[in-house]
Amino acid sequence: MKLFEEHHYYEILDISPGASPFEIRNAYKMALQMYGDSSPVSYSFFSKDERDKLLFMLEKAFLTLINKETRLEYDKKLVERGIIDEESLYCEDSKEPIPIIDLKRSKESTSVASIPKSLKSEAASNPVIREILAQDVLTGDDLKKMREALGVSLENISEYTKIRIGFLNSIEEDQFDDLPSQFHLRSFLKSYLDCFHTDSESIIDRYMKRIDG
Amino acid sequence: MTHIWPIGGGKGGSGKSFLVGSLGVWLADQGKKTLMIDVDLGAANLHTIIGIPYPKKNISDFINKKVKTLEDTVIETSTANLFLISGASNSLDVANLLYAQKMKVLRAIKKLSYDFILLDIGAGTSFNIIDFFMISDFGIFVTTPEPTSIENIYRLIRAVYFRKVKKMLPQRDFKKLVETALIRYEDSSIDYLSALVLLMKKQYPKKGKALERSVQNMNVHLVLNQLRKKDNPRLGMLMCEIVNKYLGIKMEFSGNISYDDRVHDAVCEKDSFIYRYPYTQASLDIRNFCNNILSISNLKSNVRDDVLTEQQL
Repeated sequence: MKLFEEHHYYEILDISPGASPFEIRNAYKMALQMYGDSSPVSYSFFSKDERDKLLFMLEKAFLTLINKETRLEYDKKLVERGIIDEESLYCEDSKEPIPIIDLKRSKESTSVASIPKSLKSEAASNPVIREILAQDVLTGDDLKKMREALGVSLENISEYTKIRIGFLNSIEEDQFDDLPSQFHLRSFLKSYLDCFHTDSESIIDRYMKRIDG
Repeated sequence: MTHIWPIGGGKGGSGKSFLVGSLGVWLADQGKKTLMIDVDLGAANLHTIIGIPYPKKNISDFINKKVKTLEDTVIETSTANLFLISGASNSLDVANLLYAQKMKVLRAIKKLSYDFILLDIGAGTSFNIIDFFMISDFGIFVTTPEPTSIENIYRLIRAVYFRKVKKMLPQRDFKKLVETALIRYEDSSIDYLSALVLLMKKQYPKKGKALERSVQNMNVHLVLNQLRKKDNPRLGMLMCEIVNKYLGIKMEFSGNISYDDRVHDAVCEKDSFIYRYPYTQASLDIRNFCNNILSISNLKSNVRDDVLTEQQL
């Protein structure tokens, strides 16, 4: 047990060092209820001297903390002595409300990536791609290889098709369950493949063979 | 494993025997093998509360060596699973137990094997009362909202703490400690007990640590009995806060029990109140309190040997 002279003002009032003036006022009120002369709670717990001293300290604590300047000074002393952290002190600056419309948003990020139309003819002539497309069944990995052969990033496709990159990834990784439904899967596949293939339908069918089969 | 629950509380008439009886009956109904021991030696009431006006055996028989073991003094009650060691018909000077007799009883209690042992400890702060409290880390204090009762609770808690300090030191050293405390802290505003503890920690650091551990293990519960409509229901909780803050003892609040005139009727009929008037607010409160106690027991183990190993006198 600590001598109550050794308690600092926040401990005496039973509040955290970051308490707001409202909390300080409330704490003082509660303390008076508990330690006041007529309180049944602390009856006989303290001697007359102890109680007087306690009430005096409570009042001192309250008056110091409720006044901005004296509180600042007191807090400084506590931080210097290492008794409390600076971070836990009361910060009066109220937070600014977050604007609903972000008028400051920069213009650059709104550009839409474009997929050059030449990609389609490139895809048709690329040997790697032709080999993969010769397969009867296609996996997500195949799709990935084809895309990489053309030097297109998943981010580009995501921006262009407006499909979440996570979903595109799932398609390439064969994580079918991550997609909301088979309809979505087909729809995404179509958007994805339309970027660089003319014949996306047959590719889709061959991809879907694994799921239906 | 046996859970030992001393139930006491400083002021007479606060409801200790009544609560022991109610708790005993409730635990027995839950299927727990429960033994109630009336250690309010000079003013035994437990047998009357539970309706056994002429117990055939009592604890004096053990103290006076009429029977060999404490178990021999156990009697059955009309409730299954519930047993009693009565304090009735004790020899008329039994309240003034000799030290050796008291230790004999304490040791014997700890050897008993029941699910729960409830000790009905008397009022006041004499050694016989305090030492029965120290048999276990658990304890239940019963108080009413009146300042007289509150006063006695605080006094009892302080007396228990004081006894712990005293038991740590040989008599001579303790006397010196007391004298030094009086001189050194006479003008300061801290109380006598805090001064003693501080001094002890300074002069005997190892024992100071042991004392601290012993106090930290204390797990006492406060129950506020006979709460009337006008009384502040937060009183018990606030009392616990004060004890925690200024004495460093973990006192938890275990609930309010409403005042009910019908308790008087039940006691006069020597009948169990929670059986007779099960749907009153008071009965509801009592059952809540019992549930509380049961769940606490389920959480923690109870046995400790400090009382017997710290004997220095």
